[in-house]
Amino acid sequence: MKRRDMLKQIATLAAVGAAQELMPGVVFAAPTVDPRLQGLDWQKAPCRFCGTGCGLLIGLEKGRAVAVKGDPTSPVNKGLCCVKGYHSVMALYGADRFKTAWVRKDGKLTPVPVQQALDLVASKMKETIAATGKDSVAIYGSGQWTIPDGYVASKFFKGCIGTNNVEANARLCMASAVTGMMTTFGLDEPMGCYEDIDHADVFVLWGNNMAEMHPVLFSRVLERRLARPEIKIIDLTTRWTRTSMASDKVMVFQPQTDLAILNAICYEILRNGWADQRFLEQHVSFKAGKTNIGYGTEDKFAFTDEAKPLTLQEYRKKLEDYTPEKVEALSGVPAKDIRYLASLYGDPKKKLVSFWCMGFNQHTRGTWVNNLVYNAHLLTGKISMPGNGPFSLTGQPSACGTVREVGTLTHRLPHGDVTDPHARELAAKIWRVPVERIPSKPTYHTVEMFRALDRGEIRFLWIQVTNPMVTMPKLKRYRDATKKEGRFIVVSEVYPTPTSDIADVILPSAMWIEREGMFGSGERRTQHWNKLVQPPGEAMSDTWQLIEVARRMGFTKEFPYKEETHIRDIWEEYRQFQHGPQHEMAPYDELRAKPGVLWPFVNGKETKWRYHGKYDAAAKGTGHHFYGKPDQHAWIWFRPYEAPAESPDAQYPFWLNTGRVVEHWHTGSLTRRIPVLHQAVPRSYAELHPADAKRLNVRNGDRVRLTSRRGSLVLTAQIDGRGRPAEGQVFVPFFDESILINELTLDAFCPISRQPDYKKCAVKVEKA
Amino acid sequence: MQPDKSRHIQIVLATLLMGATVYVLGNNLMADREPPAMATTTAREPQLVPEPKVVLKDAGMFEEPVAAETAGQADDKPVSKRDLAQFYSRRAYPGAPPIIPHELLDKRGIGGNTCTGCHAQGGYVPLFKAYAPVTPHPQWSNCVQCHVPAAEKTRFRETEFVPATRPSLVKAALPGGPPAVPHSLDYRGACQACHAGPAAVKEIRTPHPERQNCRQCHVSHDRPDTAFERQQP
Ligand code: SF4
Repeated sequence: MKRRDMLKQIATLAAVGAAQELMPGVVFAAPTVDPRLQGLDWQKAPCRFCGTGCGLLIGLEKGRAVAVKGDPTSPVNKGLCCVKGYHSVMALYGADRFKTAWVRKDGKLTPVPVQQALDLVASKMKETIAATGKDSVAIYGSGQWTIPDGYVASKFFKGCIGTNNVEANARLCMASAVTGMMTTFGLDEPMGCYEDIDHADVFVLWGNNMAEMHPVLFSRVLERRLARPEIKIIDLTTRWTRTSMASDKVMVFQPQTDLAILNAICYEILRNGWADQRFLEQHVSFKAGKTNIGYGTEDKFAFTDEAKPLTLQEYRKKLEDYTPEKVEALSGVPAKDIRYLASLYGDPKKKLVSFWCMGFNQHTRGTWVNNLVYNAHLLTGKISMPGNGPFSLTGQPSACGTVREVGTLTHRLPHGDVTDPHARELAAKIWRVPVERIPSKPTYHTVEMFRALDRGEIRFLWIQVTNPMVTMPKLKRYRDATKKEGRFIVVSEVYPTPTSDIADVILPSAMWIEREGMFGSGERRTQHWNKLVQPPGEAMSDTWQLIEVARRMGFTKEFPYKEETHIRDIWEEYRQFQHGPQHEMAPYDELRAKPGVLWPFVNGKETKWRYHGKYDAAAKGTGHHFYGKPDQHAWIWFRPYEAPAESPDAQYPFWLNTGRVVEHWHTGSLTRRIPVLHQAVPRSYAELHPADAKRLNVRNGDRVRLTSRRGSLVLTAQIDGRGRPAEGQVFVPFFDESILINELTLDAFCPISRQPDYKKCAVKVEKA
Repeated sequence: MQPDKSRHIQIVLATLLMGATVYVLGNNLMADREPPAMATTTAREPQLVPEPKVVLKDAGMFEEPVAAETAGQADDKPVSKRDLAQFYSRRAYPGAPPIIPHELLDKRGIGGNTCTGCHAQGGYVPLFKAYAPVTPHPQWSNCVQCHVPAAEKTRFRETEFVPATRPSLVKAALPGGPPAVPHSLDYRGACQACHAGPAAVKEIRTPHPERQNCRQCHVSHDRPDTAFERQQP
């Protein structure tokens, strides 16, 4: 449009407007609001992907989810999302959704109506229990289970059938965080919340590529630093990542030596007199546990730790092996950097948050390294206050809500451990089942559950919302186990995956906003969403699948819920477990109305910082009070450095590290069906350091063969892509079901948490 | 939520300044503005800030016609012909973060040191022979958190996703009235970023970039109409 025409048009429009004002009685035209201007119907739901737990608004049109925006009222993300969240609704609409059940007949999967498949699952379960006992049936769930899914699974298996064969994939991602907190504080889950970001002066990231894994939280950190350049981000890492690029200081350490670095920090804190003596006297006990505790690579591995009391003097003495100079030799981090880091922890004027996630948790000494970061915060009293605290980030959207809070692990109940008679009594009372029915002994943790399947102790396994045939370490053994004669595998899924490939029955699941549910995120935030769209075909929520099978097995009294109100009923029933100021959960109506509520929710108030009288209704007095342990103290554990289960040697000279990329969620079964995300990272690859690549005569894009003692794989080399591993290391993302990197990984785990280490094993790299 | 006021003011000022430049100098002069050199941003690991040696493959950037459009344009720098069809082809649905239609200049960075070199203020980018679209949310620096390039155009599996209906361009409640804003304003409240300047999409370019207080006349119409109800006292 020419400028003159434009002005003419403006004049015309102005004249029309003026005419309307001058002749108010005259109707010029009916208001012609284009229907497309009416806007979408925006409804809240938490993001279905990572543990950040962003609040989303889902745009609905003609019964379908058609758009997403960040919920500006959510205190988590304040309207911002990441690329997964923005495209999350597309995960509902892959063309190959399961819309009906599938049953294996003569070796081939054939479609059958869901009701018929549910009959088969129930009868097979009964048959198996009759033939080989109740401990031969098991369920393997997920940190992506909704809270009602996990609650119903626990009630069904532990309370009705009477087996502790309940595990969830959060064992593979959060177990060390749990045991770390239990051993130090006696209660699970972080003391702080994301608001800590708005108060801290220093952020120390331990083995945590936050820019890709918790992008929205990292953006909050960056936003804070933009306003106050004196704020520092310190990245402790084994691989140079996007997070490193945005950090003020990067310290690259040798795998496993985080144990030693943390001890050196504590050594320096004590040597320089930076410890808060009053805090230590009032709130801290010192302990030492067992050493040389093994790696769990053998079947039926057992370990029980023992807490031996220490004095502060004895603890100090033990730390003498961890002077910055000694640790420099082991870790590769210069002593002066270690001293600098210690001074940040030690400076009483600096508020400091430590963040970590899989680097610490997927670690054969995962519990220890969690304990050690707490030590640094406890020595300096930097804990349970705005901007000061250790913060264990969560991987999955409801690893906290469903697995840690509902207790969908072999040793847990919705409140307390199975070994605790009071916990069993409470469960029996709320579930209205005889207390004798709830077994008092834990059975199998995840790795051992699949070993038991291999050995034949478990005969029936129901898998929901997880893809173990991509994620189990040392994958071949466990895949072969599922294919053995006399094993029956039920898989509740939304898309075909390597796990549905080995199923005897596939139940089509209604996912995320196709049903009502709740997730609990990493900052103790419970978030509810309504059913917003219809599931495809006969797809049914995992909660309802479990209820249907339980009823078919005769547990109608225990599962009396009506379909229209079952989520409310289940929530209110579950909430009884958590009564009291230490755990109180918000009522259903509160959850529906708000973009998430932090627990403990006491007298209508959220708890932002636990263990401090100013913020926490359960804490006595006006200062700190660590009420989780019987002695009302937090425990500082001396934990030494111990070598990993497998280290590079002459035959397998490289470290193999595995992980994620921002675009893909876990095994990619959802995100790869979202074109934008798939096209950004269409397949997995092996990151190499340029010097290693040169030595191997490998250029970017060449094919390389990785071989470990367990398997071998050919994939494309990537040099100086988004990450750069240190020399002598390779990194491979695990999202790609056709490049199964877990064929190579080792099933060694932390003996206390039983969480496998996906970050360290030895491989050989050759040009293919 | 307590957004940082000073930053918002900065953004508003930057936006106003840009609009004013458009007004005072006109489009031709505006075209002479080069994006600032990348070195002006703080490089925290100087040896790692990559040289912008880019081999551009694919990705639709060159689908864009770059021939000069307006008669009488004195220099040889083309005026952008970005149109709505192309605008939507880069978004999964209206309002989705657009993909990056060129290779990343710095794969390892988060974008704060590279993307913003061109996209914070716009201007002509000789490297791409195009005008850089301007981000409406320069406060965020982890660009690749939301915007990703397409390495290839394959599909893993087919999708049946149907995006939201595109907002209408027929817009006013009364003939001649100012059109309503048919999209959400969250992180897209800096109107000038997309609606003014040489990189703006033709169909949604404002005819009056000299007017700065957009929302004086254009109200957001992002939510469904609900009848006004008077609260009972
Ligand atoms: S994937 Fe995580 S960071 Fe991204 S939108 Fe979802 S919850 Fe937020």
